[in-house]
Formats: sequence, C-alpha cells, structure tokens
Amino acid sequence: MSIKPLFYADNITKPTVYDVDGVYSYDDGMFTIRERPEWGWTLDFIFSGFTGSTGNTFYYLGLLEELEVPNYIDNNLSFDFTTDRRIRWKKVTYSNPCLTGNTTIEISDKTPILCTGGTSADFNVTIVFERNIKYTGCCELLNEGGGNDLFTGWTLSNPYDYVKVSTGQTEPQVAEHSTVWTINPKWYKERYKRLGTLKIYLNGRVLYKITNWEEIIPTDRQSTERLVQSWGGGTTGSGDIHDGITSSVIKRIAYYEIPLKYTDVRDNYLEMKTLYSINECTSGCEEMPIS
Amino acid sequence: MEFYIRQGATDPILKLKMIDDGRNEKSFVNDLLENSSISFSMNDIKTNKPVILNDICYLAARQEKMNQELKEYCITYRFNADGTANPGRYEGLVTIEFLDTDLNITSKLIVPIKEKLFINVI
Repeated sequence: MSIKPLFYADNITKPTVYDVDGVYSYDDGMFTIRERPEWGWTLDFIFSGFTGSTGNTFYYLGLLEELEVPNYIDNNLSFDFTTDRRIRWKKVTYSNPCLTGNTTIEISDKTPILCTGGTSADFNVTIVFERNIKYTGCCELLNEGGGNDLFTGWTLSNPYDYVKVSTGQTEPQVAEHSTVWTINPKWYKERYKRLGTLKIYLNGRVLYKITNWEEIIPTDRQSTERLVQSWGGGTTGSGDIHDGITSSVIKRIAYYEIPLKYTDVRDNYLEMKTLYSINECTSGCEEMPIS
Repeated sequence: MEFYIRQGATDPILKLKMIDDGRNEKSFVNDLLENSSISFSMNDIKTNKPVILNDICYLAARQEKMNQELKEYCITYRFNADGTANPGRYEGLVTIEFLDTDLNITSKLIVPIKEKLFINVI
C-alpha cells in the first residue's frame, strides 16, 4: 500500500501557490505546510509530455517577489527543466559568507538527460530530500540548524525619552521592539545540521543523487512578502533565477512531509502507471540485424 | 542454502539479503539496487531444465526502528502455484542487472555466489 501524501491535487493551474504555515482545507480535513519536516520531504509530479523551453520552473520554495538580498539568501529553491531535457535545481547563496560585503551567487546542478521514450507521454518525477540528522519536536527543528539560528536580537523602536523611567511615573512604559532575523555566523556554524541527500527519480528510477546538499528552510526574516511553496511556476526576485511558469502540463502534484524510500517511490510509480499513460524509458535492447 | 516450500504454495516468500561480514564496504550496493532489474530463475536439478525463468523479483527495505534510516534492501520473490506445482529439488538463481539512467544494462550480478541456493518443493 502506498504512503499517503500530506496533500495532492490533480490538473493544477500554474502556478498553484500554498503559503508556508498556512492552513488549508483538504479531503474532509486540513493541512499545513511546515517550514521544516522532521526527516525531509518529497515532491511528486505527473507531467504530460516534455516541452523544452527556457523559464521552465516547475517548483519554487521561498519568498515571493522578494528583492532584499538578506531576506532571500539561503531562502530560495527551485526546480526547472532545461532546454536540453534535464531537471535542474537552483538556489542563491553568498559566494563567501566569511567576508563582509560579499556577493551573491547562483548554485545549481542538473540531472543526466531525461530519456526521450520515458518523457514522450505522461511521466513521473519524484524529488526526495532526506536530512542526514533526523529531528523530533519543534524545539529541535527550530534550534538545530533551524529558523531560530537566524535570530540575532531585538531592535528597540521607542524614543529614549519614552522608555526611560521619569520622576513621578506610575505606569510602566511599553517598549516597542522589532525582532531581527538574519544570516549570521551561527547559521553557518550549524550548516551541517541542514545537510542531507537530494534524489531525483524519473518514472520510479533514480536519475540523480547528491549528498551533503543543504536544505532550504523557508523563513520570513524581515520580509513582508508571502512565504510560499509554488507548484508549476517560479517567481521574480530572489536573485531573478526562479522566473517563469513551466510550459509542461502538470496532471498531478503530491507533497509528502517525509522522505520516501526507493521502495515507496517505486510503489507509488507503479500505482501512477495504472492511472496515467506513462511510458518506460526504452532500454537499449533493440534487435540488431545479424550480419 | 536450503529453502523449503509446500507443493502448490506461494508462501513463504523467498528473501535474500547481503551478507555483512565486515570485510567489504556495502553501502554503495543500496544505491546500485535502486536502479536495477532483478529476476529469479529456478532449474530442476535432475534435468537441468528451467521451471521458472527470469520472473520478476522485488526489493523490500529494512529500516532502523529508531530513526527510519534505510538499513539495507533485501530481494524478495514470491512463488506462484505453477512454479511449485511439482515436488522436487531445484536450484535457484537471482540475476541482478544494474542499469544506467537510460536503463541500459551496465553490469550483471548472479547470486548467491559462495554456495548454491536449493529450493525444495515438498
């Protein structure tokens, strides 16, 4: 029996955007997309035929239309199709976090070329991230390399005369402050707590694997923009590398707050194969003429 | 190795797992198995004729109970009633074909290696 996703949707409009930490009604129940699941996550797609074009982002995680570098750095991730038939992940980070005045760079990598036969009709793409260290409970998720490591302090916004205790004052003055969440040395020091393995499967078979890949933990920081999980399209801002809406038709999406094992991915694929017209990649077993 | 099954039965399931003798690095095997094609064949010992030929095998994951880490895969094969229709002693072979990303076969492993697997249909 295949594992039940947190949610799934058929024939989505592109992009379909869910707010991180938003509450959604679904299947006689409700769900929330958390910033950071305990062990990792899985994205599952059924696309209808590969269409190679630029600006082909089919998944984005991070702030929408965010232009401030401190807000979107290490806070953005997208997957897209390249024109030469590959799947690519991209994110923007600092070139050298040890330096002040550092510049931002795009880091990315891509899969081998997707087989033609396997992407000619419907095809199943599964992306799995499994963290090296598993956490349990909110405290560990927030503090072990998590969002709380971005906290650097408060900024008092009252005027000095307002908060100082003056003679004859009876009521305590309320200090107004704003919290500051930003990249800091502690965030980098705990980087190893965010590392894991990213795997990309095509039609239930492993296509790509990268170890010690740093997860993205979506955080609001000082931003007023929406923090989202966007299916079928990307966003402007965030280093302007996640633009576009995929031209491929997306017949199904599913999100799991656990990293699926190979056997689960395969099981899910075999179930999807009965529901969609998926072709296998043709293996090199063509009959050759006997000379 | 001896495996016993009743005539006409489909259970018990045949399971094979890699021997961890501590001498060989085996973590890479899990990755290889995830992109492989695995089949089971069974030959009659007396006649050497195949009774089951390249029937599909499955992988089952064994996970750590504490943190759900993948420990290892084991290869499983469930007999069908035709395969166990006739009592006798047979030799079982599992063929693992490792594939590349285009599903072309890169290498082939036939197990077990050190000793033979005998299937006894009784």
